[in-house]
Amino acid sequence: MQNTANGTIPLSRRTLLKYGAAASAFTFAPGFVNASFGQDRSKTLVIAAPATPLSLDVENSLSPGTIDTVAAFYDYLIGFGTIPDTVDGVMREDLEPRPDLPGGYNLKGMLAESWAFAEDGKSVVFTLRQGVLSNWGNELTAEDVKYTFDRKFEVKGAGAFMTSVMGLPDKDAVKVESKYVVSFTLKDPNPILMIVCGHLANPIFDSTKCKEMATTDDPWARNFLDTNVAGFGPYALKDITRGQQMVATARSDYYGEKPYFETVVFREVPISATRLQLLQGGAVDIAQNLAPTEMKSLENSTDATVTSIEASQMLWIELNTAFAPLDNIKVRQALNYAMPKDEVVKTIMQGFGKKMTTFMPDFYPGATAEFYDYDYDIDKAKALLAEAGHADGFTSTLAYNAGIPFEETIAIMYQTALKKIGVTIELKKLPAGTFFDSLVKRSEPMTFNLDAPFTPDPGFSLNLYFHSGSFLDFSNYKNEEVDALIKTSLSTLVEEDRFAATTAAQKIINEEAPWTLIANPGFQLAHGKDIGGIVYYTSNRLNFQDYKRV
Amino acid sequence: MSETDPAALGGQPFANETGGEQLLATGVLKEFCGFLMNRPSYLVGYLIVALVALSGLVAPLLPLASPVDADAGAYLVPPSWAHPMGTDSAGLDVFSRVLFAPRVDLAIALVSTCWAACFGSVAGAFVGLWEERGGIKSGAATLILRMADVIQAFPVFALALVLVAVLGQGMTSIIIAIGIVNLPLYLRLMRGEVLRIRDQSYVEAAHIAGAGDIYLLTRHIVPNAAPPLLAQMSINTGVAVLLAAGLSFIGAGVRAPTPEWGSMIAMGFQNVVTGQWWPSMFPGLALALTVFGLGRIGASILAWTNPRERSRPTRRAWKAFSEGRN
Repeated sequence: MQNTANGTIPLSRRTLLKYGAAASAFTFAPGFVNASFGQDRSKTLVIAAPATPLSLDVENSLSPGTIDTVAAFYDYLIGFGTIPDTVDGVMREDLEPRPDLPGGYNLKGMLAESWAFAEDGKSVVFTLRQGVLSNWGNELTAEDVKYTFDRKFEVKGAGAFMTSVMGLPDKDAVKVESKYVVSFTLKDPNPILMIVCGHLANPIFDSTKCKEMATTDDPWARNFLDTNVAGFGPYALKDITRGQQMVATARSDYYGEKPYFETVVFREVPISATRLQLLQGGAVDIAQNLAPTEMKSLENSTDATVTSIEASQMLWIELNTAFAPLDNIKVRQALNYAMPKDEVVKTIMQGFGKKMTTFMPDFYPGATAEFYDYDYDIDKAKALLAEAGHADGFTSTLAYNAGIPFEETIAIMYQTALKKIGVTIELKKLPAGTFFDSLVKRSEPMTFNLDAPFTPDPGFSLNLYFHSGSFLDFSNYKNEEVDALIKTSLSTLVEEDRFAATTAAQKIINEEAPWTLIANPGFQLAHGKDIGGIVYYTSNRLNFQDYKRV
Repeated sequence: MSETDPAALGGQPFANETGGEQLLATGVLKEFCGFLMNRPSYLVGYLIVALVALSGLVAPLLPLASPVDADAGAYLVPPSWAHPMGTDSAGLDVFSRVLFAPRVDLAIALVSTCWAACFGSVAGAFVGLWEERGGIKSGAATLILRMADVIQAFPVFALALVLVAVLGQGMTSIIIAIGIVNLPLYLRLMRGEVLRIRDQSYVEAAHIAGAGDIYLLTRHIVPNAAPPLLAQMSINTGVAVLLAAGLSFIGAGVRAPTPEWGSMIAMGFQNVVTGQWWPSMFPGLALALTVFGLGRIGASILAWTNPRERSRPTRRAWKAFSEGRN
């Protein structure tokens, strides 16, 4: 018999295991969240994600965690109106061009109450809502908008790209007209100015708080905004511990509709199998980034489900034209014919998503698959290689991201397919950081890419990936005619002319094949069956304020 | 043997004549075989490792599916006659890959262990011999020991990861990384043995007779320090297999789709939770068995070099003895 007379618990291997197991179970039990935050569980949304945000400042990072959380803390000048999706109970942004409306789309005002364009399309005036408070209690004014865009020019992060696509030449282009009125003056008419204003990377900052937190060494409060927020969104940041979790609480003084969930716990759970188990056990409401087989396993679940939506995500291989023989169009076409796209979607992606047939998301206005002809055809691939003078094949390297498990399996499948046409590729698995470094430096002949143009416009999408001056032109693709067509599409307000230019550009790009097309993986949200109110955004993000328990 | 041969003064325990060495070696081998036959728990280790090595050797001659070519239509197929261990998420045949994997795993483990043992024990021998000589030799010995301390201060995986990151992904990098990680073990082991042996009378006698350091080490010290080194090498080979598999598991190992147990486990472990256990279970079993086998080999060498353990009667001998008495 063990002696417990002195009140201490006798420590043996058995007791240690027993108490350890109890502690672990308690940690992940649904009640744990209530106990931790003193909140009603029904009003608390718990999300298991691969990582907490790297930064809460969009100028510093657009990591997946940042993308998923930033729209909870910040509001934008405008946003898209929504329409029902083909999936029951799901809404999505209305991307249909509406030339009859100011801004050319079905837009809804967020921080901007109204907006008016000049006749020549070279300036727009926003009138802001009055009485809108930030999470620090400061009222929204035109100064906040001015500060936000001044910061983009000064910090030179992601904002530098944004000001360039918006056509803002310098800081003076954004002018405070009165306390609640701000104007943007452009060099040339810009058909996508309004929808870029709603881009995830263009939130409006609370300038009063930011100026308060600025220092001589850090005049734009980068350090403060890296780990804190100063915005006009529906949630305030309660706590963030990187590598563990982030907690957000709904603001009672938010100007718009109050979110259903009063507390959001965004917890880091790096292993997808664990995220799946937590969802199945009801400990979390949403499990992010599950593997396709894991999502498939939820088909028979009574408590959880997967909502699969057509999305802007694209998966492809960059064919770096700076490396021979990838500088040869016929070689690039051959590599496209050798990709078993249907098999990849059917097996590795378990039927989630679809094969990729366009060089931009195919549901974006102006996207066309009429020039696509790259279904799996080994004979055609061999013939093209022979025409290119590489009948005996060649050797190259394909780099992929170790953080995305299905890239490795697709790479192996592709390697086997390429052997059939005599092409030998060496697979190079790179840790996420090194991978993105090599992608940006364009140091590998072939590199996987999984990305999406957040702004649903053909000119914006083509400019992002195929304009020779774009920093995202990772395939080093250069065609002066394509550059000119993209420029036309981004500088004319006549819709027919814009789409004619982007169609012509797509025809050339399709012919010259700077990418090996693979798949549109779609947007999959694995969630408890009691979670509703899902809205799809082209930035492929979560939006806590939309969700509710049904 | 000439009169000037210092070994004549030293009473070296091993025979020097070539013929004598051969006879001795044959006798020792025979005795060792008998030792193993009487101890099946050690013998099983040799059988497992022999089987694993054999599978790696003959795999290319067998009518197996390609271990590196994916069958796009065979995605996560459960074990069947066509695929005895099923297929993985890239459509690769698991059975074929499990059989081919020892070519990589054992090669990495053996080469990395051998080079670590060679360099580590040579350095350890000099360190042991020079440590108290004073002057430059003593300084060099201290410097080498401190360098070993630095290497050992790093967590094994962190050090291996840094080395693979610097040298690049591939077999050569892994071999160098694992070797460097293991090198201090041999250095310290050999140093300890040299410290023990260098004060033996036959070594001192040889030294007084004018034998140089290299002669002392090669003729007197190293041959007598070899048995524990061999035992350590076989245990370490198992650890090296695990380390190679671990590096592959975290993505710093061999390049896909090279058949290697660690990378196979890494590729398959995500499927376990959804019920597809076979892509990681079979390589895991192969890995565990191999490490177990190498561990038994190491244990057998340790037992063989321990006179008390070596002469201890086996259970079968006790039984026969007891029956004879009755």
